[in-house]
Amino acid sequence: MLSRVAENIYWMARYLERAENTARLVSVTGTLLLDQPSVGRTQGWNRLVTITGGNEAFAVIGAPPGEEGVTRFLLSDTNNPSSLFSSVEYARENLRTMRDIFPVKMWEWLNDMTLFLKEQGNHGVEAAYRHDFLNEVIGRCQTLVGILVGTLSRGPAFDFFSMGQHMERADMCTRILDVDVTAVKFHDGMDLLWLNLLRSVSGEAMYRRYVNPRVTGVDVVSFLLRDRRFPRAFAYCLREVERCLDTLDHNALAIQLLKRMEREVDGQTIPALIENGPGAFMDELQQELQKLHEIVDATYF
Amino acid sequence: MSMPWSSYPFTTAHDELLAPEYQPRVGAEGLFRYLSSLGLEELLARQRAAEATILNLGITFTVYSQGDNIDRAWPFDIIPRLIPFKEWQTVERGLIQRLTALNHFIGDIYAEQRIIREGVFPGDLLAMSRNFRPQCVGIKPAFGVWAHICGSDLIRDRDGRILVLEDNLRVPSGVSYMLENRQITKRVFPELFGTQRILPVDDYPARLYDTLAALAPPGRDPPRVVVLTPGIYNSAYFEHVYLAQRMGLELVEGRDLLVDVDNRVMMKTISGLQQVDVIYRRVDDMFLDPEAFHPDSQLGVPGLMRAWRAGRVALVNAPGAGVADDKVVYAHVPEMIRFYLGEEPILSNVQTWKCHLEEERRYVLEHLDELVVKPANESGGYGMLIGPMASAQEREEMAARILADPRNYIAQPMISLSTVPTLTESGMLEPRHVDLRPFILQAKESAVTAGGLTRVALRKGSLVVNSSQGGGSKDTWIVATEE
Repeated sequence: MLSRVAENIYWMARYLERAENTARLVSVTGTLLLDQPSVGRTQGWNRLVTITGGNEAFAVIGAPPGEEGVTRFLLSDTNNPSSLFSSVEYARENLRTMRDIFPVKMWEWLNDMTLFLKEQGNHGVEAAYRHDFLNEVIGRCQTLVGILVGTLSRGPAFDFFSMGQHMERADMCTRILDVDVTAVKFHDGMDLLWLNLLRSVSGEAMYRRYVNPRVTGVDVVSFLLRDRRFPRAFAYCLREVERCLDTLDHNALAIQLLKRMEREVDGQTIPALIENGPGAFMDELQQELQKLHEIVDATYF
Repeated sequence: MSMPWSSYPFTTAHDELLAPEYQPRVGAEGLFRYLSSLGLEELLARQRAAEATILNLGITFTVYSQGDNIDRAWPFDIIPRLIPFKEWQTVERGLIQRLTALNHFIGDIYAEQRIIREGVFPGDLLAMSRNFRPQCVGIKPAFGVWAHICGSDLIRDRDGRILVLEDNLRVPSGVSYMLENRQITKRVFPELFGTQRILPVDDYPARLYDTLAALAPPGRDPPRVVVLTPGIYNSAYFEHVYLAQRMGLELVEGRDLLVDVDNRVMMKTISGLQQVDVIYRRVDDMFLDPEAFHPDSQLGVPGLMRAWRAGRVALVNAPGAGVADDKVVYAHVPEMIRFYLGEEPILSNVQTWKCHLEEERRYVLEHLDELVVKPANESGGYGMLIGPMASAQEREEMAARILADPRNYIAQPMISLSTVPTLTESGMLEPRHVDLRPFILQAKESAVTAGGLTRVALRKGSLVVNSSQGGGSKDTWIVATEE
């Protein structure tokens, strides 16, 4: 496979995953903040900008803080390169050059999704329509992934897609854990916030079934970081990236780094991690993911 | 509703389906009966079905500067254009003869230039050619073939004769639409394929692959063949993707390739560099290699000409083949056929007067109000005079230009394109003008597509068949007739 094509596939996967994650985050946050006193809401919305790593772009664009400014920035702002709209647009531009590689349906659906976002993108900003709009976006993202899982031959195209998807997902996992766990200290209703964490990765049901019917901080953090069965947990994502790398030549450096990250995650004492604030550790994981990306980039692209 | 043949508004042009007494032409009887049995209403319903199929299959062509909506659905008319097999056999031989002579000419021009020394082709015309590439002098490509893929434009005049209008020897496009048109027609008129003997066209990708593979440098077996595209903004990008996919080849861009110190062309892949043997390039000469041509080209591969000259890679068509893709050269093709092959041309050119010959120049100057005058080295209609539509002043200006630089001008009569019944937007059946672009392959062996791409000017009276200017296309059937 051409290096340029592999790189395009990898980024297309990251953009699509980013779009889906953004939709989940905004949806869950919107629901959660309805239970908060209104003074806390603006702060709650603003935190989403931090989670998605958008503080700088937010300042440059000069978007107003609070619900409307933040949702517009995250969902429909064409000036924000990480917004839901921009992510889907980039994914489509990437796919345009690779239509010969993917199932025909993939292009039809992605094309249709950009049209949908152009027509209804503003519904994400209006609270009354937001829930339905974001559900639709998430469903469409899942359809796209479903097309690939169901009809794309297992080979380099699938592996580079999966690699990009799980790198992005792992990154998002560390960002969710970073901000929210810190925030828990300043609020009552801790359980609600742990629940929010689970819901933002659609993990509530799986957690209750496989881990603990009761929601506790230690179990939730452990689940999100270390679970190897739940597809949006950090450790699961690392394993999947490793599986993809296993199919490729010259993978030693990348796999070495993956193993080290896995050991670091397993070596953490979760209660202490919560007690001290997980920020520093999450920063470390994010930097390691960035390093992993650089290795993949230098080796294959 | 029955088929309203009796109100079919014939023009002065030759109609390919109907003879003037509203009777089908030879070979078209089956299609005529079938269309009549469907009736206009059903025909319109099938036209809509075809259009829906085109949208679903994503058959598009690309239009520049339309914002982000750069893909447009391919305009298609479901009534096929028919050519009897017997007539086609002659056309086929004529096309191969023509391309063979053209390849002799290109090889000769980049070597001893016998045709110039023997006074058959004027050397000073060559000096003016924009498509002559000094970088190609002395190269001997495999089988002596430079233009491996040629798209020649054919027209049928008022008398029903098939004539060659031009030969596209650089990067001719359209063949993917020929293949897609057939797929659509099979879906829309499945009944007809059961009763008619229509030559299949679907072997083109396989034949193209054989042609490409035959050109690999010796000892590279199986050869690695790739398709080189300028990228998604090229108007023929759909076709590049389509052909790469149908042949199972990588579709590469210039940035995917590099030329190493041993003059090998390497492709950057996830498992490292891989050597490339044959490049079906859909990039123009001038953008192929910034080392040899435009230094600022982003589309090309630095060193590609070096690799080609060293015989490490085959480029298809060969650089410099475009020297024969020029109006003055066109006018000399009949002489070329006689000179190189010792044969009489099977297919005629459109009558062409060469202004560098005194007698022909005098005729042109006396008949400017009837003729179309074209500068030799311009394309896209630039600098052209359409005599019957020009003002007296425009004609005088042209006369002055011809006298100042006679070698740069040729003249042709106003051409007439034949017509085929076509469904109009208002749901009527009317004659629309068509041309035909068959594709000729040449390496060790030669092959011609069964038919080609029929382009149709969808606007009433228009002779412009170009898809960017209101042109569409039709499926082309070569039909066996009962003798």
